[in-house]
This record gives sequence, structure tokens and C-alpha cells, in this order.
Amino acid sequence: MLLFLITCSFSFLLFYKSLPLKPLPSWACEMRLLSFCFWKGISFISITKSIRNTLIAATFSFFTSIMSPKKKNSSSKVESVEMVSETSVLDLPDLVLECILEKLPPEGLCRMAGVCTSLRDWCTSNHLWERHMKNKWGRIVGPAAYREWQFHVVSGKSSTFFNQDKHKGLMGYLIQLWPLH
Amino acid sequence: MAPKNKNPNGENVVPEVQQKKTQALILKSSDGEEFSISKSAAGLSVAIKNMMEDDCAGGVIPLPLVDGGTLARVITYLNKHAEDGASDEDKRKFDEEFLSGMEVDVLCDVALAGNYLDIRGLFHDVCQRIVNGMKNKSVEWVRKTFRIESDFTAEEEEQIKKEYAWAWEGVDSDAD
Repeated sequence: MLLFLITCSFSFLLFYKSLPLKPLPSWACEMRLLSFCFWKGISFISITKSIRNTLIAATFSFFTSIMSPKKKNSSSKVESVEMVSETSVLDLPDLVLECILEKLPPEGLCRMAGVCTSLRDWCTSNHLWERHMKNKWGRIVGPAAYREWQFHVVSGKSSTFFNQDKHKGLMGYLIQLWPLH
Repeated sequence: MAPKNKNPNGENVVPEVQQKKTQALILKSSDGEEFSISKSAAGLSVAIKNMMEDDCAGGVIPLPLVDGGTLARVITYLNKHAEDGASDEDKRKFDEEFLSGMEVDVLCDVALAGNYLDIRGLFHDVCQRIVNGMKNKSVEWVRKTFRIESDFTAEEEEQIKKEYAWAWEGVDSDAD
């Protein structure tokens, strides 16, 4: 009921505010007047109804108050409802998502990168691959090789995720992913 | 009686260690449900422990980011892990059963709560569980399960598949 009254006064305000502006086409004024009369009419009906039967009036205003905001911003409403009811991996905070991706094996990470662009950005970030790199090659990559590899990283800054090159095998893929920053 | 065991009113004060075990806290979920939990169990959550130490935990602790269902699960976990007689083996078995019955959505909620309340063990177990569920699954399965819409163009997608063909091998069937 309160919401209903607020909507009424809102439409009145709209009408009132439009007055000092430069003259609008007559149909627009009529439209405004129409909506004003419309709301007034409804409120009049609901008042008479509430005198006769408060229950019916309450349900009526309840429905109008439910209907009106939905028409105004249905899209944003639907979005927020989805966010609340379903927790998806992408809705998780960065730290949580990172913890999950950290535990994925390399092939899982590559596959996740194929899911959508935001996951691709996540799954191709360097620090996720650094662990896999160390796990697999840590014992054979000495300091000199590591330096050279870092040099490669710096010099290859411009290459992207999709760039094909001649490296083969896991190492190749890792190096290919590495320059992405 | 030593003076430090008396409060200003002259009443006996229960020693702190005992107090921790017996006293209960009330945790209030985002949807207004209240749960009673012993201080020793609640102390396994670093976030709640800090609140208790800072003395902000007067009576009811509101947890606006955790809903009732998730909080109930978290409390079950905390109670088990704070149990006096429970051996590590017991706890491990409990964790296994506790997590195996959960759907992906629930796991995500519990991971979120575990992170928020800073319960390390629970958080890492849940993350591991989510990973175990998805690591051998296809891209399509992940999209369907986590309701993610692909924003790649058909070309991009084809290229990724071609480039990382090795990663697409040995994928489980999409059936749950």
C-alpha cells in the first residue's frame, strides 16, 4: 500500500517537474496527464474498495506494486536473482577461484582455458603455471637455463595465447603460455 | 582463593581454559537462523577466533555472507574436528563422507564460507573436491555444471581445440 502511494506521488512529481520545462508536444502532456489520471483513478478505486473490503484492496495494491517495478527494470532484477540463487565458479572471490585452479593438473588448466574468456585469462596466468613448471622440470632446469628462459619470457612479451610456434610438448606449451602477462 | 580468580563483584570466575570449552557462542546466518556452537569448535575458524580474542564476540555473531544451510554444514564439520576423542583417522573418514554427498553448488557455497571464516582444512578439502570433480571433464560439462556461457567466437574455439588437442584427450563422459 505504501509502495503504491509512493508510485502515485512519483508520477505526480514527474508531471509537476515537466511543467517548468519548455513546452512539450501536446500528446506528451496528454500522456502525462493520462498516466496521472490513471494512477489517481486506481488509487480512488483502491480506496473505495478498502472501505468495502480491505482484503481485496490489499491484494490489488500488492499486485500493482509487484507489477510496476518489474516492468521498469526487469533485466537487472533477473540478473540479481540469478546471482543470489546460484553460486557459480565465476561468482567466487578471486582467492577461492585461484585456489581451485591451482589444484588443477596442466591438461585441466588448458581445458578450463577453453571454457570462456575470463577463465582463459585466469588459466593462462604465469603463477599458476610456475608451480607445474617447477614440479615437472624443477630438477633439471638449472639456474642458467632458468635465466635463459626468463630472458625468453621478456623477449617474447608480444606473443599471445593463440600464437602458434615451433615448440613441441608440455615445455613448449608452457613457454608459449608464459609470456602472457 | 587467589584474587585473580575473582571478578570485581567477588564471584568466582571459571578458569579460562574451562570457559572456552563449555561456553557457547551463537552464530547467526544471513537468513536469520541461529546456531549454537561451543567456543572450542568455533575457535577452529580463524576469523571467529580473532573476533573472540578481540572480544567482539559478545553473544551473537552475525555472518552476513553465509546462509543457514551452509552454516549448518560448516558447524557439523567444526564440531567433529573439535571433538575430544576423534582421531585423525576418524576425522579423515568424516571429511570424506561429509564432502562426498555434496552437489557442486553446495561445494562452492561451503568453499566460500570456509574462505570467509578462514577454516583452512575445510577450505582446501572443498577446493580439492571441486577440482576432483571437474579435472577430467570436458569443456561442455564445465559450462553446463557451472552455468558458464562461452564468449568465444566459433573460430577462436576451434583454434583452441586444435592447439591444445592433447588436453582434450582422455576426458570422462559428460554423464554425471
